[in-house]
Amino acid sequence: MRKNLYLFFLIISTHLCYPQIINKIPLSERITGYQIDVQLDPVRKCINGTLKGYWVNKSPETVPDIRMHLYMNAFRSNRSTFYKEAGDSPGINETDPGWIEIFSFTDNQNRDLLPSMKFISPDDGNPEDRTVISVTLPEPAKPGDTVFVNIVFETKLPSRIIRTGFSDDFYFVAQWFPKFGVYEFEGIRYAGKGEWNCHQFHRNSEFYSYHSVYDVTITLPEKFIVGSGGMLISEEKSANNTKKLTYRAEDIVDFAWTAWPGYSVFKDKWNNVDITLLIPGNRINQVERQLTAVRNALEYLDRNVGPYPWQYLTFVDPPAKGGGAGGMEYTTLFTSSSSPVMPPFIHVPEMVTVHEFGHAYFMGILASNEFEEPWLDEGVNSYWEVRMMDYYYGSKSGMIDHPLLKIPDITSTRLGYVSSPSRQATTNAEYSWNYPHGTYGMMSYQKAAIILHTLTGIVGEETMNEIFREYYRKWAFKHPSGKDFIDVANEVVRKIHGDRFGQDLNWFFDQTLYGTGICDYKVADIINQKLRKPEGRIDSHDTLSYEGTDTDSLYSATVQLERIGEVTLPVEVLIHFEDGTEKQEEWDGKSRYRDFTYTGTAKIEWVKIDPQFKIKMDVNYKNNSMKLNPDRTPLKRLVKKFVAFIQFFITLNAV
Amino acid sequence: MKIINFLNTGISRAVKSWKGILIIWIFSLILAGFISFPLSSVLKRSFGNSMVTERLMDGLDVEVFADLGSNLSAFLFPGLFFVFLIGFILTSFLNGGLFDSFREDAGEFSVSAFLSSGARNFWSFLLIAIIIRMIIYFTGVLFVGIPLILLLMENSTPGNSPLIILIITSSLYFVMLPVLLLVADYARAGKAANPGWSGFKALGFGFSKTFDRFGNSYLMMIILTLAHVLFILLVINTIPFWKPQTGKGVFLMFLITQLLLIINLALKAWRYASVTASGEPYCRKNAPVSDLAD
Ligand SMILES: [Zn+2]
Repeated sequence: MRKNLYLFFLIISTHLCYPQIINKIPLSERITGYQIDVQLDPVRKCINGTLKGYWVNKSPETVPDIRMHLYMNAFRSNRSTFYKEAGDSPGINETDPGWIEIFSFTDNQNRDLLPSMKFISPDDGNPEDRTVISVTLPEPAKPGDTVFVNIVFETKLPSRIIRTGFSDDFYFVAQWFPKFGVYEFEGIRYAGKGEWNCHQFHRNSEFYSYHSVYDVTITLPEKFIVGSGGMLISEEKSANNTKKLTYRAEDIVDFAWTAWPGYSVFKDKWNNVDITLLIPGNRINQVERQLTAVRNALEYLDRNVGPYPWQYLTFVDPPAKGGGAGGMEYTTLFTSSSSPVMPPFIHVPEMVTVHEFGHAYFMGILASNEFEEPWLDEGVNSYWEVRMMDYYYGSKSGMIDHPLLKIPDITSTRLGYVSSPSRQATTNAEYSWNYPHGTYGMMSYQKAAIILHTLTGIVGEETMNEIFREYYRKWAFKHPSGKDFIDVANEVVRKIHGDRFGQDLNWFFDQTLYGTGICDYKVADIINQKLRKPEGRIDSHDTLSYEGTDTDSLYSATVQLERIGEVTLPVEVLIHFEDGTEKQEEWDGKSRYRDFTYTGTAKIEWVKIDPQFKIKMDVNYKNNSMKLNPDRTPLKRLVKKFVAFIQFFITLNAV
Repeated sequence: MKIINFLNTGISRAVKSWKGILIIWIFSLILAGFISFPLSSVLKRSFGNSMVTERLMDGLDVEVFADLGSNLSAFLFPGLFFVFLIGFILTSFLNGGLFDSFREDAGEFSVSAFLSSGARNFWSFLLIAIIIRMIIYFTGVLFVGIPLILLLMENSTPGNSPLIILIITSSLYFVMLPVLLLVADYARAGKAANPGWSGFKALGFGFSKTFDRFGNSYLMMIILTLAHVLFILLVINTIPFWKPQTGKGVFLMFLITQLLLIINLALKAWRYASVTASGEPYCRKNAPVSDLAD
């Protein structure tokens, strides 16, 4: 009861401070909120200002402190955990490093909290890392309490742009202000007793954050064209040729913005979503491609996962000098990547746009913990990226569409996994910065996506859509874990297919997501043995009838299949006989080998395991099929063309 | 009219030396065999009885080759490098024979004369080929590569100037290319006529000859290179897209590519012979001893 009363006052109070402006009803619980008022200093490359924020203790526990991320301190020196892991330096010039300084930290009763603020390094104990602070509260926050903070801060942007930074007069500003961690308690992800989930900033890691409301005022020179993850509420002229922009954003996980005088702005609309594209003026020829890509992604995810709940989105194609900001997501703002010269058959800009937009769902709406389960946003999002690219740009040409070379996105993603020499080094149950041997990208993007495509091959695309629709319904604007996703998958598959795939799909995820094994099925041999009439001393009666048959043409025909990998998945087997007949068999794939034998007048001509290549995890397609007399025409053709190429090259190269 | 005469002379001299063209063709085929035979056997062995190669029926499929892993690229790239290097050296040798056979007073074509003059001219021809090739690559980077990078790195709009710069510099490059070819061809024609010359002397001669009678020879070279470029464009836009589906079809494709290669060589020979004819006469046939030591 008491808690409910608190909640009541909380809702009243926070809603007075943060009234509804964009969304009619809040999309999220809005456990945190920020009012930020800053100025951009283009000479010092600094952003100075004030932040008023709140955090609501929704847990059933009393919490003695608050924790906040100071991500910008990752760029402070080469001793930060970020740069130690990168084995690199933010630069030696005075203007190179990035940092964030807190000049004043008070609560709503104006009590100074600076003395109780300390830098902590919960992940690696690095005393020189300053990316997380803990502030002991004057009074612990009881369940339902709201903690208000007032901070005066300065953020210096780094010159070497890694997602965020400046280059000349280009600015991309993200994860730039003191930002609350997430207080996890029972019911949220894997938490038992309540504790702050507030990791240091790592080289291989993204973020984890509450859905928040943002009221942000930015003052900067008039010449800048600005884009942000918020809606522009007002624009006023200020002193000294500056302007003051006020933005409002609701239910997003970070308020990022960019400023550069060189942007051209393009507008578009999809249903009721206003789309804004900021792109360098010399890339006008890329505008239609980019807008089409984002409309495609909106349509596809809206249809197959759930509605895009905001009325606007802004995306940015950064100029070459700001290339380090490209390909990143901040929900209602994201960055793509292209160039003035980009042949239409290369779909990389579209891929980046579709991918980064997809993150509005997988991390934006479904705000998983990217520090601890990177596959749940990058892998899931890459799964959808592949589906969208190959749907809109051709199932054989999602990535490259040239008459001489076509590459679908599924192929480039699969090859990223199967051709990695470290594909068996670890599982996906790894924190993002702990992936060994440079496997972070391969494991959390490609392998995870290929696992989900393999599951699609097993349960079907419509079932996958239903899994994601349910995942969205259940977990939108919350913080799902991998386990929550798997629970939804189990529930939906059981509802649609009964126990056709077992009690649940844990057998699948345990082997693939949480296992290091590979999947590889192989055709070992085809044996066609002629059956002979009983000859010699026959002591028993043969059950086969030879009457009326020319026994010379009776065969015992066998295909010998083997499982080389550790992962066991159900596979289809297609067997083709000389007389044109075919048999489709199912193999649960569990045993180490499996033979299929047929007695009849026709010999087996060929056999294919997984004839439709549904099991994308199979690391070797070459051994999935066998034909007694394979047609080598395509290989011969290739070699002959290669010969001509060499000859032409030699004779033309010689001046 | 002079140009047409030279081009006609070029044709008749190239036809007269048809055996030389065939020799170059055979060498190119043998060289390509150094890669294609092992490649073919690696592919056959690697794919065994697999049907995955069916996926190549409609064109290249990177997934099919990915399964071969590194055993393919391990021999392919060093092999290609080796063959291209040998190819460059060998064609310099064979061009020595070819240019010699195009001389006004060359007489009947004989294989032994072709090979011996190839040997005689070899080092100078190699030097000329390397230097001209280097200039072509270097100016290519300077006139096309760098402006292209600037265009890609360019951040904003002011009047599309990087694009205009790129168009101007690459046009300049393509205007300049025939000049470099003229220099190479005159240098080699001069060397073939003056066995005593060093490669550098021949190259200097090539430069001076080119600018000596620039108007005529440049126009002629434009016609020759245009014909060759159009032919190459035709080849590029047909052969790679031709996907015969049967063994016989593949064999037919092979025959046609070889025929095209011979035409390609003939076009080149036509260029060499026409330039040779246009530059005649080449100094004294019997150079004094002092010149030989140059
Ligand atoms: Zn991503």
